[in-house]
Amino acid sequence: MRHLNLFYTAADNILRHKLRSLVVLLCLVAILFPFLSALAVLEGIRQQSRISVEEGADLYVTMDMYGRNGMIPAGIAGEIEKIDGVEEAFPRVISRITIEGKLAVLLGLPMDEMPSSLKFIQGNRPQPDEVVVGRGLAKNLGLKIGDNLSIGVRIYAVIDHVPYLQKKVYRISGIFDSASSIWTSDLVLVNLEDAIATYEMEDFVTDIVVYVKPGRTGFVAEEIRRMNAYFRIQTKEMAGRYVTEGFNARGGVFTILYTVAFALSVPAILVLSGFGLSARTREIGIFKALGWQSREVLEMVFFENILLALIGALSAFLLSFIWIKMFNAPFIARVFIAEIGSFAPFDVPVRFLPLPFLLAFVLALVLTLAGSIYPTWKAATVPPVEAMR
Amino acid sequence: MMRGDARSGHDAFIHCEGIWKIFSPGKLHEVCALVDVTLTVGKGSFTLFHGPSGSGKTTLIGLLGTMDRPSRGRIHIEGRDTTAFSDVARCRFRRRRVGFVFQAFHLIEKFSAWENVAVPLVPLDLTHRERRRKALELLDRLGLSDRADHLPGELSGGEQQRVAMARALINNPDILILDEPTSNIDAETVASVMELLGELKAEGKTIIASSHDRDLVQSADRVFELRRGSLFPPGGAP
Ligand SMILES: Nc1ncnc2c1ncn2[C@@H]1O[C@H](COP(=O)(O)OP(=O)(O)OP(=O)(O)O)[C@@H](O)[C@H]1O
Ligand SMILES: [Mg+2]
Repeated sequence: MRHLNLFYTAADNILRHKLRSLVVLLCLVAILFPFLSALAVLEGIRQQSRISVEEGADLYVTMDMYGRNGMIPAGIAGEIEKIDGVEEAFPRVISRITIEGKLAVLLGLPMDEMPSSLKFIQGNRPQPDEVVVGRGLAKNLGLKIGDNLSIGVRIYAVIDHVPYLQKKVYRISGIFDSASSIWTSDLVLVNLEDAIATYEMEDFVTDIVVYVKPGRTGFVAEEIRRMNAYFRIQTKEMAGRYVTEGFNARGGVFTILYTVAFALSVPAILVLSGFGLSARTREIGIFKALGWQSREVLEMVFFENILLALIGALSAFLLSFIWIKMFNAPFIARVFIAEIGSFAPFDVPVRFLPLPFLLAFVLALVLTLAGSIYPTWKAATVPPVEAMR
Repeated sequence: MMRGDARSGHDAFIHCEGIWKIFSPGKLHEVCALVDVTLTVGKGSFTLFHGPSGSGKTTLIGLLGTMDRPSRGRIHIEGRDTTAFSDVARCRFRRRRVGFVFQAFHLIEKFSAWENVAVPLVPLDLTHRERRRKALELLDRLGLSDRADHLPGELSGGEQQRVAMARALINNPDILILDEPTSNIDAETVASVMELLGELKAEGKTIIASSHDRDLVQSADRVFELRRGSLFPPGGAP
């Protein structure tokens, strides 16, 4: 009962000192909003990458070319498919392209090998000189089935440092969607033969995709390596690690930026939660003079801070939710996703987890406590006559 | 030796011996607010400290109400040395035994009249309803029931004083200390305050007040004169 009374008084204090509470809350939101938004976007991207890796093939085979991944004959796919334990193997061509000056990815696949993570929502598979584009890309460029799309397929010359692009016009035959919003905005699917012809690769492809029966990955990889010592094999785990490490590095950049911002805002909040402190000291002196124990005063102030931190974390969470879900994370997504401007041209992947919220709350609590516990403790331990002057 | 003395008396309810209060000791602006004050207060009596502004009245009754510690000397209340109390014991003592009406009232601006009265009850095991009922009872007794929900800023000086008085009485203390209870109010209101103090004294409360004018001198059982921190007559002989 006693604790409940102190709790209600704390809640009352927050409502009564509206200006002070508001300023502290604004500070908290300013600190927590970027924190929560960034973690939500980062987690969203990480989840999508994980999905695309998990839905991807078990092995990717390329050929060693001066220590890097080089082209591999398309015919190897047939050989690999004969290995015991291989479910399916097919060649593909993957390349960087430009569409209206923006970088995108071209994926050439055999006509009957569409990844299961992509689902057609309109149209047909690509015939020669046709492409299938993602929903995001179609939306951004206002493309419909039957439209023509000019794609910069590769640089054919650099004159005076200016790259000259070879362009090719494709007809759009269909539109796909995917769980990954990043995929749908920069992936273009073409027929494998078409891609091979475009890049003049003459029966070579960029890699061979291998699906393996459960538990046979190690064996199959060993068999492939035995076929030719120059084959390079990438497993799903390696691809996964590569993706995660990439995002961790981007998260690191954010962490640095955020640390700087944080270092600037902490003194601000410390000063601000001491806002109106002389009135507070007097009030505490009165409580003490009327027989309150120091620990009762501290308990009340602690409750106040818990409430402020909770409201601060909740408001930051709500704001971040609205910012990302309704406005598509302006200015935040660009920190994490390469090659987009302040306004992302696709739905920014996002995932709100309970842990970052909990962290935000703890952070807010630590900040408000740091700003108020010492002055409160001081006011509560001097003789009340002194605190009341 | 002093305690067995007739002046301090066996029936001494409060007994101060050689108390000094020095503010900012050792500093350039050191102030010696009380100088070797020795006195006794009888149980259920009305004691008045009279003296000019700055003579140390507030400081002295603050010490009697365990709001602060003397720099030197001892204060015994019912034989217990309050100057040796820990901070926790001092708070508990104030809560149970002492009602204090400050010179400047010290009401909390953001709390309504009844909430101010109920502040001492917050850390106790009482519900909101019980606290409000108790506070309203006292405000009613002091003729302020229609002002219960007003903020201090909306009350007159005399009304604020009565709120402060109600707050001092809410825990039913046996020692009531009033700092300048008559300085902010007119003669008519002084009469009603005196009447109330008379009632409280009849209930057996020990009343201690300070004043710089002579309004209360007639009503007091005992008057001590304070001059620049010293008691006249010394030792508080009548
Ligand atoms: N915390 C303090 N620090 C320094 N000096 C103080 C402090 N409190 C009181 N004093 C000084 O001690 C002396 C006595 O003060 P006190 O408030 O007890 O006087 P008072 O008799 O109550 O006066 P008044 O009638 O004006 O209320 C004054 O000179 C005052 O300036
Ligand atoms: Mg005074």
